[in-house]
Amino acid sequence: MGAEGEGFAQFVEARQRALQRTAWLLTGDWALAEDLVQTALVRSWPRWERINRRDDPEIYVRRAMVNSWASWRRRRWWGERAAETVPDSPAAGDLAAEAAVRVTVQRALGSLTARQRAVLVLRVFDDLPEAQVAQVLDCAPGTVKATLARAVDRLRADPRLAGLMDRETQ
Amino acid sequence: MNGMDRQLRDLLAAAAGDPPHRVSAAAVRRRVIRRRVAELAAGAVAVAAVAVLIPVGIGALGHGPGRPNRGPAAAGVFTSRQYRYTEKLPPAWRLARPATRRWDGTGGPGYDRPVVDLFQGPGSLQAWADAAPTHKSLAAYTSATIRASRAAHPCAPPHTDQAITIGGAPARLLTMTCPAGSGFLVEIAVTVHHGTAFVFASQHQPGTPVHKPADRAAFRTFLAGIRLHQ
Repeated sequence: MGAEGEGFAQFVEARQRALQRTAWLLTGDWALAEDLVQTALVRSWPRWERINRRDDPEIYVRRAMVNSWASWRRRRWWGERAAETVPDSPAAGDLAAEAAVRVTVQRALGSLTARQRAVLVLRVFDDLPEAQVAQVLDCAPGTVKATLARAVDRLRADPRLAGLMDRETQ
Repeated sequence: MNGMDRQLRDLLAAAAGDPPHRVSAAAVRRRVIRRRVAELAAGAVAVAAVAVLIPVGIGALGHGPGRPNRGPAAAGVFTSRQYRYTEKLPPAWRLARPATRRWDGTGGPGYDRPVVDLFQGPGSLQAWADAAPTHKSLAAYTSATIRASRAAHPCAPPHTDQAITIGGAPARLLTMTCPAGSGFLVEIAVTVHHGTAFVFASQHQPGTPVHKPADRAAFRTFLAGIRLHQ
């Protein structure tokens, strides 16, 4: 493996968890999230040296991820979707409450448009600056700002999500 | 980031949790290599097809009309490498991609999975096929297929459930809307033959008129071409 290959392996090692979590927020399914991250990395690997030289790999991979996800959404529904599975080793804590949060957030995210969802996840969850979100989504920073505002408004109006946020603040 | 954003971020983080599996660079490399091999194979097939078609075309130009077509007799017959059936392809149908590995019988494999034989029909119509061993009766397997489709996609209950035959074996032909209320109609034909369940499905590309009668007829013609092996 060349130096660029080592750089790639290091990037995957360091960022795979964060990328998968972002992918889960986009897809709402761990199997699809893993597939989405792999797809984005498969696209990036052959040109890794160039990406490293010219671009920020993080931005490039996230852009590949969002674009792949957008193209999956345009495809038919009948692509196989893994069913929700029971975790192999359940974590300690209130599993029912965790599941309720997961389902509520998933449904709330599902009520957003694809672009609103992508902007929200990249800007709020990944904490990317507006300029970088704009780079990933190939749009103007002003569009990011306006889209985020609409997404947050919509989520704020969701009573189930509002209930969860109230609970967090108490 | 304001208070609302922070709350949202915490909620998103709590919902996302931890991924159940790791993604490794080695797995990505393996996937790239598989993709390149597939591309090379496709390229080789294309070159071979051109090499065959050019002489055939030149030959055809050299002969008058009315010369009988002496192409290979089995050109329109596909025998599955993974599953025990043969499809005599009707006109306008062709094999799009054979399955490269066997289905393990779980979930509801879609057209884009490597476990299905994928066929391209007239227009945008596609059909795909898979099979798996089963001890269930046809009725029980049909119910299981409906349950799996409703859980995974999630489909509405079947609009129609007809008794048909596939390759002479009793079969059920289901029509479902998946996801419920989406307008996407899917036809699924199920049969159980000598301990193997065969599933044949068809669906449209997005954006095309939903399930025209002509497409339903085309899928039935496709089903009529199936022969199940002993």
